[in-house]
Amino acid sequence: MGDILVGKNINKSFGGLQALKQVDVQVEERKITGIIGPNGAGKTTLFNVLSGFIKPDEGQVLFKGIDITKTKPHDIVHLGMARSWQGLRLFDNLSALENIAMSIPRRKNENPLKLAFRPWKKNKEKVEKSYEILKAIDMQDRAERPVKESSYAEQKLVAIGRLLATEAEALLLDEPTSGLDEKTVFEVIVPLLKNIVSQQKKTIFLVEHSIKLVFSMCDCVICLSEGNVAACGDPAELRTDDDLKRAFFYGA
Amino acid sequence: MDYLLHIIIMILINIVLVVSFNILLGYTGIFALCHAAFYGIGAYTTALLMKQAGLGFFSAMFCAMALTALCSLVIAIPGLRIHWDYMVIFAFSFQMVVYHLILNWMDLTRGPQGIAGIPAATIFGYELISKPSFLALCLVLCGIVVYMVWRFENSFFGLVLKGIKDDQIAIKSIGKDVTLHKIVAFAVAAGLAAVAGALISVYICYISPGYFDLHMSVFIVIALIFGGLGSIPGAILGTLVLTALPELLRFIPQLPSTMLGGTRDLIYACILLFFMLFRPQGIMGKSN
Repeated sequence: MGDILVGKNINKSFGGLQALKQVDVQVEERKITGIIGPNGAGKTTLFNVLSGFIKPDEGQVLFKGIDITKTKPHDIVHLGMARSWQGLRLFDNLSALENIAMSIPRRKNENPLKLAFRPWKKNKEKVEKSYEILKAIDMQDRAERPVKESSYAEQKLVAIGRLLATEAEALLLDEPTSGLDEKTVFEVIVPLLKNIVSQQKKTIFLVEHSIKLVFSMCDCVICLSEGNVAACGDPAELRTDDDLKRAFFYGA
Repeated sequence: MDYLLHIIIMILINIVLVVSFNILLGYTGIFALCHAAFYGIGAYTTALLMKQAGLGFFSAMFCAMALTALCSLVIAIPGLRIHWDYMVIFAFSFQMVVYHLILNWMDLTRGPQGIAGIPAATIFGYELISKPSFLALCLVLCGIVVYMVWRFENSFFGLVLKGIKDDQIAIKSIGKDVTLHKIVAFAVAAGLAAVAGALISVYICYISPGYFDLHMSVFIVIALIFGGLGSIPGAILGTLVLTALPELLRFIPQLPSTMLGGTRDLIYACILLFFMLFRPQGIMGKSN
């Protein structure tokens, strides 16, 4: 399968600090690609550029062969790529169900007036779909509770659920497991993400700090260091490289 | 009795204003201190169309709603590109500009003299001159507006507006156009405010710029904060109390009538301060 997302020669500076230096990345379709690197390596900046929230100084972002470098973030979602946030950015005052339901895109035949003046709970198709997603993230019994009252782990799941609701085929996840204990990560998050790729045929690109998780889940790893791509490829192969091991896979 | 009916009618007209303003400040979190400007545009459009062009009440009202919604774009499109804090000043300027336009555009609005002799509303040839019949019209229109705002709040669109209040960047990341949603919120809120304008112009059959000044915009904000941001029952309660309260002052014999306005403003200021300090979510609003 080909590359669904390609970043070519991306440069981005903030003042005097060059956060990304001629970064080239490829994300293969229906695979899990991980990106690792120390704090400040430019991982989140790269995500912001790929998802359209920051425009690169130079370079090009292609999604399914379409140049999206200057496309607005919400239009990128319509093209089929959505992202989550390290800080979650959930709609705290709304329930998990509402967070998910509102993320489902407008149907082509959906009347805008109905969208604005018809109670959303009357849209059976979208409500059912939301409950399906809630079931997938095992939150159906806490659907109506405001997310700010949920635990951090539950909020992380809602963030993934919201991403699924956008119906995007490529999902960018910014640290989906940070702050969670290993049990939750390996029993809940990892199977869920693997299932998303194998069953729902989606592509996942994630920022991750846990080396153990990257090795257990990713088909491809990109190592980012000070704004440069230091290496990329199959995690099992990269693991044998002593320099990389010292720099990135500390403790693995 | 007539006096009581008058107060109820004024409450209903104000409810239309506060409930429609709730779309902006309550759901979307846009602090647009210019709702009285929309109210004024709606009132003057209705008055002029009925008096000069001879249109019926409902056709004049619909035209006023459309024109006011259109005018709201003047502020919505450039205003929403700037940061929320500056939006307050931008909206305030819009309020001042509209007020001074009404005050000084003598050929059209007759300036401070106002427009008198606006025809009464007629339905199927029946003139709604008596207070009870006009009250019925107000009740129906106010009911429709409240119902529409309720539906708007509970729609997918309303969910996105609440999301915008929580986190605009997150809204973009789920594929929703923030600017478009805000513009529509402005247009709907302004269009509904025009309904109140249409009602006031045929109710008193006379309008002057004084009804639509900054005081009115501030009143709308205070009534909403008092009742509770984002809550329709709160907006209604807030309007009810704040419209009726100054009327009660008239029954205090020691208070000379010249001091009524000042006392009213003082009470409003105290209410605003109290709620900002001790209960920012208002009486019926949800706490954040």
